[in-house]
Amino acid sequence: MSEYRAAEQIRWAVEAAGVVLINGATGAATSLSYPEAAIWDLITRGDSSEKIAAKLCAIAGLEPVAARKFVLDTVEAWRKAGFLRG
Amino acid sequence: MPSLVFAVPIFDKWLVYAPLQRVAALVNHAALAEFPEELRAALDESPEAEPRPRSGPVSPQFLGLVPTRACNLSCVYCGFGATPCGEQMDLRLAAAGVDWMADYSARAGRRTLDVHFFGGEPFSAPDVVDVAVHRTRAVAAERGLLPRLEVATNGVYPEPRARFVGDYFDAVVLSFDGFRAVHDRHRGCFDQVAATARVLAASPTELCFRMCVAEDNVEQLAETVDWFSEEFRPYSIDFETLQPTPESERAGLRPPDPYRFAAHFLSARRAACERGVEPVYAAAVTEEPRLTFCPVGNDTLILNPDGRLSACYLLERDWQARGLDLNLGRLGTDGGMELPGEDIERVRQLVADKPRCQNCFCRWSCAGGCHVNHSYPGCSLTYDDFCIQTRLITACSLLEGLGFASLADDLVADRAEMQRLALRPSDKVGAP
Ligand code: SF4
Ligand code: SF4
Repeated sequence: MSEYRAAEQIRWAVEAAGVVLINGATGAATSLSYPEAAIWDLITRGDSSEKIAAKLCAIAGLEPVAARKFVLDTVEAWRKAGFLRG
Repeated sequence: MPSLVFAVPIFDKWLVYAPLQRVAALVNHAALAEFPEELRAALDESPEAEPRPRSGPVSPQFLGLVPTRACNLSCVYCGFGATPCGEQMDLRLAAAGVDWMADYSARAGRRTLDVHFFGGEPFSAPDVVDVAVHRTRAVAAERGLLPRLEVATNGVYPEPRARFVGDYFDAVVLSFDGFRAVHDRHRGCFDQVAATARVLAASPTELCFRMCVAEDNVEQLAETVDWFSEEFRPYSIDFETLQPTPESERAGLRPPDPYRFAAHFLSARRAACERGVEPVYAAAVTEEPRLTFCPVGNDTLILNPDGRLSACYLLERDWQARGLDLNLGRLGTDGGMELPGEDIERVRQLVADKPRCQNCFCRWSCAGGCHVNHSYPGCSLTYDDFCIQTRLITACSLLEGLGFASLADDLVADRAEMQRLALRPSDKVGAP
């Protein structure tokens, strides 16, 4: 199971080049391009950080250690920004 | 020079058809009997060139990905030999396939990066699909291409997966055979498929239903179209008649009578058009003269879980049983691509050689149908059920296009008249 979920007020829309997050409370929009857009999709569908990192190796051509760090850093940044809870 | 004008009887008249000019006409018997050469000459003016096999460098319209041959269902007519477990594509191989197609699309000056998923059931290998979808979108964004993703699926998975499909795929071909009793007899899991169809109907994706028509649902086509349209608002409905397999025969499921299929398809097509849904019978599309109605011969590359690249998405053993070799090459997990020119040429030439179709007015629309199951080397030269229904549906489409819809209705209400048209060994005008 995923350790994180989208925060209550966050909605999102899938676009050709990524994902747009919208804060339902403030109306603020944030565009996520790749590879972050893939992490957003996978985390909101319940993948664990380990599983996301494994997929990110193939999605973004990263080495396993770099992929793991990228996922953790991204998730932490989103948690601080209030996009994720958990 | 061989005649390129064809004619088929419609009661006391003749439907004359020149596919290379894209001209059709309904004429009386005297016109055809007394002036065949004049008629042919008039219609033979400035024809388009006959369709020819492709030439030049390989140019696939899309990359086909088979994430796995495994499937979570066991439909009674499945010819894919699917089991719940099975080899899954290496994630690096899926990424390498997408990269090759992105590279090709950018070099060829395309606007889109087209990747289509087939199975088994693609979502029986969900990680492969996740990786391939996101890799496609990532490299498309990098190279200024528009990602264009399509999938053929059975729809049997939980709601979050259905939402992902609706959000990320531009087109979804969902196998849905009709009302509960029919769908459950053919495939099972009606409730889950209907639930997925509802999720997809509410999403931005272009939803297409693929309906397998057998003896047990052929009478219900128009009613099924009405229900599908009201309940799920699909973009299109694709009607495919059952291709018998040992499994379907064991289950007592038989293909429909081709004459009844043609008649019911006509009613279903009208019902669909009235409701703004596009009805599809792929073998009767007459817009563009063609040599093949499927990926084979169109340079499409289907990437299999073992790294083989093939022209057709059926199992290798199926085409081998017909004496065909539809392998085109191989891709490695490191992106190394082998695509021998002689293999591409062999498959391109294959689609031009269809002895049964030479004198048939559908030769450049139906184009022989499936190369593996129908027009394989050494197949019978006489018309079979597929030919009968295709010839009837094509004639009715041409009549409707000319504004003679009621004549098409009269035709499909008269079995003897249908047989006269469907079983005519040659449709060529003014030729031996
Ligand atoms: S002979 Fe049969 S397979 Fe060939 S074009 Fe005509 S309908 Fe199609
Ligand atoms: S040869 Fe037959 S099975 Fe293969 S892609 Fe064409 S229509 Fe499909």
